[in-house]
Formats: sequence, structure tokens, C-alpha cells
Amino acid sequence: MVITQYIQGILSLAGKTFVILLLVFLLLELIQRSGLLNKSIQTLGKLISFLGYKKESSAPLLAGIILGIIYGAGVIDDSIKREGVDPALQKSQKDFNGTRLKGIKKGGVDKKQVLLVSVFLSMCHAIFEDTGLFLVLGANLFWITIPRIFLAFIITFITSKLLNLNHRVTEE
Amino acid sequence: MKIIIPVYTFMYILSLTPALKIFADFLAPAMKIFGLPGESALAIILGNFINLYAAMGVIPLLKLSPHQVTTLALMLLTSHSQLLETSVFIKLKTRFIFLLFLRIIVAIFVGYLMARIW
Repeated sequence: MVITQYIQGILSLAGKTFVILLLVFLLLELIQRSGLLNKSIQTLGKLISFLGYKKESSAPLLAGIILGIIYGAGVIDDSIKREGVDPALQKSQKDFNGTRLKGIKKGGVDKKQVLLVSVFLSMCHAIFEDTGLFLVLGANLFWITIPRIFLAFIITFITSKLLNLNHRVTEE
Repeated sequence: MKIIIPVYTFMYILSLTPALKIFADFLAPAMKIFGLPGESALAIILGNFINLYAAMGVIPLLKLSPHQVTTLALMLLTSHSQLLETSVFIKLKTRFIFLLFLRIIVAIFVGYLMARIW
């Protein structure tokens, strides 16, 4: 009896996880292919400026939120390395999507921007995949997404303000 | 998927022995803050050290209510895979210690709130 219970449990868990991950990755592929990412980077750049972000940060931020922290970090890493590298080398580099992202083409992301992006991403990343996993287990969709995004915004806002304060003190 | 099945199997065997009960009783007072049973500490430990898939293998065996699953989910979503993700932050050369503690503190805070406000 114990064995049948075990097999039943594992099959239902594995099956559900498989279905939800399939849907999530299909969705992510669709987002990437449709070019929605590149379009929304433009709009996001304007929206998040109140958090202390510059326009260049919107590319790694969006990649991190939707695809996961490693993608976001990869995009940041590219933009940091691009600082001080000669233009010929800059041209040869490509981003995670194979297509060039407009946000980071112009220049690097500075240290403060990296920290701010990291703070946001540490709170809220891979929003489709991770949420999908917990939906399988029967968590409430509203309560595992909205508070997360909300918290990420608040904490980034506070960090940004604190950094500005720090900056001003050292300048005086 | 590769990690869910071994963890689930191991946990299933563990749940048949008294070891899990002892562990749960030991951590029950700490988990009570979040309105969770002591066993769910295992999900948090595995989720933080390995990844969310390891936590996935544990949670179905805990027989939690939907509210408890949501609390646990939100805690794990704010703070998970610390080994991997902190090393990503180290690679980025940002203040990873600040980020590590920020995530843990926020996870505890969120768990505490979730147990009370919803």
C-alpha cells in the first residue's frame, strides 16, 4: 500500500510539473520570438526612472524578471565589459537573444545601476517559471506574485534613495 | 525534474521512519512563527541550499493547507538557491553579502506577515 501511494504521488507531481513547465517554456519562447522583449524595453525604460534606474538598465532588468537571474546577470555583465572596450570589439558582441538590444548598445551600466538591478532581481526573478512551480503545489496565484513585485519595487526604491543620500554626504 | 524525484523518494522513505518526527519537533517552535509545521523547515533548507525543485519534492508530502503552501511559497520565492544566486551576484561584483541578508530577512518578514494578514 505504501508503494502504490508513493508511485501515485510521484506520478501526479511529476506529471503536473512537466505540464506546467512545458507551458511556461512555450510562453517564454513565444515572448522571445515575438520580439515583445525588445519593444517593452523601451517602455520600461521610461517607467522605472523613478526608482533611480537609467535607461540602459531596463534591458538586464526585463531579461532577469522574465527569463531568470542568470540571463539578467549575463546582460549586465555584457554591458559592464563593454565599458572601456574599443568600439570595434563592442560591435562583435551579441546579447542573450541573438539580436541587439538597444538599451545597452550605447554604453555601460555603472556600479550603482548594477546594484539597483541586482536588488530588484534578487527579490523578483524568473517570474513565470518559479510561480508556475508553486501553482502546481496549490499556492494562491495572487499572493505569490503581487507581494513579490510590490516588495521588489519598495526595496529598490529605498535602496536607491539611500544610495543617493550616501552619495550626497560624501560629496559635501 | 531530475532533482524532484530523488528528493521525493528520499523524503517518502524518511517520512516512514521516526527521524522526520524528531527533526520536526525540534524545529516546530521556529516554524510556528510562520504558522507552518516543523517539517516544512526541510523545504526551506533544501530550497535555499539546492533549488526550488528540491523544495518541490518535499512540499507535497507535508500535507499543508493552501494558505500554508502560499506562505511557504512566498518565503521560498524571495529567498532560494542561495548558493547559485549569490555566486551570480559575486560575479557581478555587487554587494552580495547585503543582497544575501536582504533576501533572508525579507523572506522571514514576509512569512511572518503572511501568517497573520491573510
